[in-house]
Amino acid sequence: MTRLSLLAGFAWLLAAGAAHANPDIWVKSAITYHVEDESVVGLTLEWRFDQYFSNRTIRDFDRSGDGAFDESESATLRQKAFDPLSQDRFHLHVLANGEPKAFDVVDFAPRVEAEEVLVYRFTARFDRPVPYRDVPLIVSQHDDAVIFDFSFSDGEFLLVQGPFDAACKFRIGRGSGRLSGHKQTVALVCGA
Amino acid sequence: MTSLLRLLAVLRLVVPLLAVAALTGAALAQDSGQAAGSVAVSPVIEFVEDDRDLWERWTQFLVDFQRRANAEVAEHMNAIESGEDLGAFFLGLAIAFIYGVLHAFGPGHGKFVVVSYFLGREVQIGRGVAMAVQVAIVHVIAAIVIVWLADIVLKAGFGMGLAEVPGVRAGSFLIIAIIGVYMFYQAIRAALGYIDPGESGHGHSHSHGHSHGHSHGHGHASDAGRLEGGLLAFAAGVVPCPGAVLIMLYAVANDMIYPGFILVAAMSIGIGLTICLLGVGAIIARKTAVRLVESAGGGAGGVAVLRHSMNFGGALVVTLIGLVSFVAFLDVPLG
Repeated sequence: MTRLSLLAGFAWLLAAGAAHANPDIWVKSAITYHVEDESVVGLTLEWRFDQYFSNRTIRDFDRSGDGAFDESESATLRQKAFDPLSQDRFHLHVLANGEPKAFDVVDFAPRVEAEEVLVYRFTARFDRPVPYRDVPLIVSQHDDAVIFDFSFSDGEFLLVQGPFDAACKFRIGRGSGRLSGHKQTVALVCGA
Repeated sequence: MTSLLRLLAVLRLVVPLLAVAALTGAALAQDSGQAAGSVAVSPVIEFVEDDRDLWERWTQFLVDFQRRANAEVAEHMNAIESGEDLGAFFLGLAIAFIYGVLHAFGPGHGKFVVVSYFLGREVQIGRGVAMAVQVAIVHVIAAIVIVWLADIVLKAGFGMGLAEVPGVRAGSFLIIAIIGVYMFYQAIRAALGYIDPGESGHGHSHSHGHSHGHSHGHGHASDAGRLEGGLLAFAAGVVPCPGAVLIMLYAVANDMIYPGFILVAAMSIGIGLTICLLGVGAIIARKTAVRLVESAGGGAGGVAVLRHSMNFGGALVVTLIGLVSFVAFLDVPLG
């Protein structure tokens, strides 16, 4: 009986591990929703990386060693380290009315903050604005391959820029359906 | 709303005219039921009640612990380098070790290969432990070699492609597939009666109680079994853990090679322990299944069918893991 219990525990641990993850790159993120004419037109994201990835990337791409990325260094970083993430849609999942929303990534601006923290700042501009009062909008940052782990920054991690209906709010919870397995989805909810 | 007021207060201090304009704008927006402004404001955020089950809590614990441990390892690397704090040294080792134990529960590190292999092989528990040790050693060496290649030989950054040295992954997948095929060959031989189904892995099984009578023949076969297990351990461990590579790179970049090596070694031993537990679990699972069939009155025929099934099942899974991973690596469509 003891042996069977141990085996059951062993199988459970194996399955649990397989279902989840061993991320290698840790990201603290913040999102800003851009609102124009009663619609969300895009999102600006800020990713703050862990010290290993920060250290490595800064060392690789800040060739001048001045603790900042100039135009040329930013372009190289974008080409070699950031643009390849487009294969995974930058780990940004946006559902409008339950369907994946197309977006372009613009204004990529990497920087180095205090204590050598690498920050990616970029904007995902939607192909068409989402009238947020009428169309359910859900956003999640999640890497299906679980190399990246995303969690929200400790400070203000969710902001809105532009005229926004004060009756609407953001609901954060676990994902379901298409976003099953996502630990922090953000649903923009108006009304009940 | 608090943030909006704070923002307004700052604006009022800095540029009084702007403050007046902002207050007017906010008042107008309030009237129309909208938060206004060209500056970002904090909206109302509501957290849905956490209804995760035990499984999800466990996996989330794995991730959360690793996030903290990841940061702690770097801090202790500095402490080890300074050589001033023995407590920090041991704490750093302990954190890296536990980090490795939990990290290995995630995908990768050859767990499924090892488990499938041992489900398809009737071997002693010591083989599971030995293979885990081999995987851990290969993991450490692989991480160091990758970093050495990247930093010292190539002088090049890997960007996002850490640990993606061409050929390493492909080679490891091919070795796994070849071992799977070899397991098939032995499973077929056992099914045809050339060898005992419980010995298809060259295992030194004593379950039939007269192993001393076969000791000479088994001695030769065990060497082959050890070679096979060693190759599998090499294939499973040669793709280095990206987390360990990042730690090593950090150590090299900050001139802390020896602390980095010690912590990566501790982490790899932790990874090895997890693989060991899972490998030994698979060995016990196979033995338990055989005993259950025996005790249920399955007879010699039932046990033989079970052993053949596990031999073929283990071979199939190991082969598939190798082949599918190799095809996926090459990005070749299966259809």
